[in-house]
Amino acid sequence: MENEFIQMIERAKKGDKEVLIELIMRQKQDYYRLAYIYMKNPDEALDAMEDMILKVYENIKRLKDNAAFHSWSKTILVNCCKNNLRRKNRVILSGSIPEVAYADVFQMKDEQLDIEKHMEKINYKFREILKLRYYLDMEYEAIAAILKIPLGTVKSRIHTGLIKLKESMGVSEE
Amino acid sequence: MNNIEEILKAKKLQVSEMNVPEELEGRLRNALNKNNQFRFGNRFRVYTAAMAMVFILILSLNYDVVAFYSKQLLGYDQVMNASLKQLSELGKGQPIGKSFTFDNQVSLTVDYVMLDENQLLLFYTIKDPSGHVDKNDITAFMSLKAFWGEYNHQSSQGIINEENTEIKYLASFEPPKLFEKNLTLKFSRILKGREDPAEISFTLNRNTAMGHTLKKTLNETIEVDKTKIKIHSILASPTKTVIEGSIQNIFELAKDQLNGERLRATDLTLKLIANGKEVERQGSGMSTDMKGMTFHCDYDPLPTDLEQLQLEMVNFGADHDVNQQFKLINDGEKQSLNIQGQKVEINKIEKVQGETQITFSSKEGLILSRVYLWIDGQRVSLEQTIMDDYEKLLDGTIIHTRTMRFLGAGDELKLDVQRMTYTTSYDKVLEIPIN
Repeated sequence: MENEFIQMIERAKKGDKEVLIELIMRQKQDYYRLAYIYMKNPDEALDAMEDMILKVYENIKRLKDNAAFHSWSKTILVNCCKNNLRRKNRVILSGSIPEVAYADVFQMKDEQLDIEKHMEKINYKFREILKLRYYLDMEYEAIAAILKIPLGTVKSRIHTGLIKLKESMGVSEE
Repeated sequence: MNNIEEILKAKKLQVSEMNVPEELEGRLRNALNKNNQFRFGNRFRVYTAAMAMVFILILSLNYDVVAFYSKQLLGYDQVMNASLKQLSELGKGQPIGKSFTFDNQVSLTVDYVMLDENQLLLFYTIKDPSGHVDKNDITAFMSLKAFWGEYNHQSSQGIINEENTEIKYLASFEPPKLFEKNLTLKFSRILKGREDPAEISFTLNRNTAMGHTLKKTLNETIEVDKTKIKIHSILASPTKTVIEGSIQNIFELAKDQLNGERLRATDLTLKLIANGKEVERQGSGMSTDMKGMTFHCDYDPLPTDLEQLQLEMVNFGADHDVNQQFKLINDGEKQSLNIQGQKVEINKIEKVQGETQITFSSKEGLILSRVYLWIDGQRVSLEQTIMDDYEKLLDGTIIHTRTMRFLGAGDELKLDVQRMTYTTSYDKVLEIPIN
């Protein structure tokens, strides 16, 4: 099993596209959900995955530790998501800014219910980690590996993130 | 609900129930297989949005349509105005006759070029022998590349023939600098999201260029409410007349921005009068950038027997920052608000099925462009404006009456006017010296 995986990586490094697809598809749930919690939309999650597989294909020769393929490619996926989000913001800016936003009356009611809205209010670096930890149920080590930050930082950000989220939702400490 | 981790875990269940779309594998394979091609992403959408904005800025050119036969420019008579026809009759300009054909047999031919100090006019034809020229995929993104720079496409219009096999275009470009000789027209077609670029090169014959007929720095100022409109210059050439000016320089713009008193010009009408007759307007544009708020107005060429030239300020309208709140008294009486010197008359305030409806009237052209209502200390956005009614008074002014709907009702009402647009008419005339 282990051996087969390493062989597949070796073949992917030689430019075998089908093997590369197979490698990603074996953990398709993980990849897709990871992309989804960033993009919040199935279509854009797929877009980000397309971007990822291209980058993986172009750079896989540089991957030294074959066993780290999945966490390496997930880091790439997270970066692709962040790039796309940044680009999406730019598009909105160059378009027209709505003058009359009467929708905010309706939104007020949703806000009290939907945790996502509160998530948006807290700082990006906390939000990202909370989502990975709680929505995807990822281990601290896995988060550290994908985001390329120290384990201690992951732990402290989860702690602070939870406090901030509680503050935002108006929940008092018990 | 107190335990936040419980809520987060509930959300996790939602996420883990999510299925991976079946198209995933196909899309990954597709992405890998087209990876050598140039990919259009969101960036393309940015350009499209920018392009659309440019087109909105350039007002349509209205040429009069008089059938006319012209030797040099066969088929272009419908897109030329009278003065251009005269010029082409006189043989002004330069025939080119170079073309490029794409692999689907659609071709672009540069027929003719006319150059003066205001613009370079490019006469070109797009042909599609299959009879679908109206659906051709050549973009309007064109430019003229030369050694010292790139000159942008400003506006164009074309006419399709009855067989739908060709379009004759007349396109206006920024005039190339004096020492530019070799020009390359860069254009492209979009095929399945890919850009397929092409170009046509030609040499400009400066002897056929026409220069200008009147060029003057004016530095005149016209005072309008709250600001001054500066007329910088006039440049008349055989193909058109351009007036350039500014509304605010960058310092004034920055100052107003900081004070929260910005104005955004929406309407500027300047009438150019030559020998007592109005010169037809071709278009105009306005932009705000590092140079401040600048504008240009384009008119037809001036008559050759010019004796008198005047510029008349007709209208100036702008969207102003107001940021003022007005307490509304709901006692059945009319209430008059003075908003930056503009009169807004509140006729009626009604509570209808839990909504507040405010009927008010003002001069035509006045718009409360960003308005809220505070109902008992809570801010409510405008839901809808209903029941438009225009009434013409004896003195000719038009009064516009309408009703704003706000969701919610209460006793204490405050109208929060953040922005307002209004237009003021003037009849100031500026004499332009012609010698």
